[in-house]
Amino acid sequence: MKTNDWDSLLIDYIDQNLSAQDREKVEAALRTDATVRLQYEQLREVLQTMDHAGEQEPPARMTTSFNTLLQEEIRAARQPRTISLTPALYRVAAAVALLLVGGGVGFWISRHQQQQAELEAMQREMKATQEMLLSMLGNDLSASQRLQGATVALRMDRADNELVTVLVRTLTDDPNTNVRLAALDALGKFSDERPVRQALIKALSTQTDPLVQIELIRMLVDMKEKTILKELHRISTDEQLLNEVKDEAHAGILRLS
Amino acid sequence: MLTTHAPHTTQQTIANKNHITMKKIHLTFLLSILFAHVLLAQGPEYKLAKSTGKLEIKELNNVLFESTNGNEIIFTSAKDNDDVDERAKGLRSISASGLEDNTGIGLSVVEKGNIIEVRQLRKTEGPAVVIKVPKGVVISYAHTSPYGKEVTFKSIESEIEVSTVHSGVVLENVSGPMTVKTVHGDIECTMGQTMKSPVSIVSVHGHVDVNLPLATKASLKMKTVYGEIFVDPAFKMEVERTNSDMVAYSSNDVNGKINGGGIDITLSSTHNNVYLRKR
Repeated sequence: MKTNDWDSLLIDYIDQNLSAQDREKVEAALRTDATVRLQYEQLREVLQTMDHAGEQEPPARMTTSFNTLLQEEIRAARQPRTISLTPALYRVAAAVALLLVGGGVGFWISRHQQQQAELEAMQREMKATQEMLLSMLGNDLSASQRLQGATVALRMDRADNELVTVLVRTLTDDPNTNVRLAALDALGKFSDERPVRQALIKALSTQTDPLVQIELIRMLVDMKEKTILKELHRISTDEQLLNEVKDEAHAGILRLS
Repeated sequence: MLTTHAPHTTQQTIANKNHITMKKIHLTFLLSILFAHVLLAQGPEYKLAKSTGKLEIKELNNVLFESTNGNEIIFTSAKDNDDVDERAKGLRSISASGLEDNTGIGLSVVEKGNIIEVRQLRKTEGPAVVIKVPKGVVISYAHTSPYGKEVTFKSIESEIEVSTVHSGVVLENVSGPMTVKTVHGDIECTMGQTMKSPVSIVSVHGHVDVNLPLATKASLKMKTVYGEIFVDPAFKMEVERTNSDMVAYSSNDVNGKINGGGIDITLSSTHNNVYLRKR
């Protein structure tokens, strides 16, 4: 029988898990065989120690002190390391580098702020221009002021809703033809925008001034606005309208279809 | 004063003759002569103290506007009215629109706040009127009937608004700002040495003929659809280029600056020519 086989038999014997037959066999071997007895002694010692070890808990004081030590160790590890640049030259270089970086960041921030300020100033100026423009367009007493307002509007790159609304109102309601024409010019610049387009189409049926009618027909035809075909038919057959307006409407029909 | 004084002396001379009937006849005769004289000296004129606001002239067939340094708007009716209707003598012309001749020269002048509305009572013909306007008064002239020929503005320094259907418009030595529009009329304009922005002159049928001092700084916008644009070569015009460096010659619009740009001038004739001459 090999040592390993004896091991399991002996372990079971110690734990008293053996059948009566096996127990007799082990006991016989223990009495006769010195090797087996030595093995048995060792095993019993080991097993006893194992049993005891399972019951052993580290004392509470030990655990806390271990934890404190652990915490201390962690804290120690976190503390920054001091880099000492021993030669003075390195320190100067570091100082200069720091200054440069600081200066650079400062410059960048100030420039950014300046740009911001410029942008704000520009926006303010634009708003002021627009307010001036709106007040000019609203001047009832002077057609020239309203005309100038519309002329300034023509030079603007983009128009917000308020300006578009005022220009549309000028186009439909202003008593002065020259002012209405200038408003139409300005609106023509923003004709890509849906509300402007709609307003122009609507104006075609309400406008009665031949000059504005001709301009409006030309503009809408240039925009390839086919929805006005019906209105152009009406205009081209309206006996009350000026021949030039009817001709323009007719030419528009030919160009659109 | 003269009227009361003169009869007094006459009365004395006649009294010396001790002839009562003769005295009475002479008195009436002299009085009537004096009265007629006073009327003639005054002329058919109407004055309105006003140096600001807006003068709205509607449907006056024959008008000449002139400038005045005073503080009154002065309406004068030219004397030689060829078409004096003998039958209408002693009668007053009234209008269906309820207008009243409150000036004695066939005009109705009504003040409504800042606005002075002027109309003539007769639909056709009517008086030839000269109106002297102070510099601070905006002139607005609107005319739609086919009974007028042209309206003239001479050396006007205030703002002008003109809108006519049939009448031509003549602007002599005007300074702007102005908006001029006509459907069938021709527009002739001579601009003054110092111009004020903006100027917009448009016509459907008639030509637009403008004389401009060479030194004027202006941003020009000239436009025609079926006509041509003619410009004196003395004007060095920087034509605005829309895309890249190309100039669109086929386009109906010519936008450009003279002398670096300045006041906004729009000249447009849909069916006729636009002329820009140096003054």
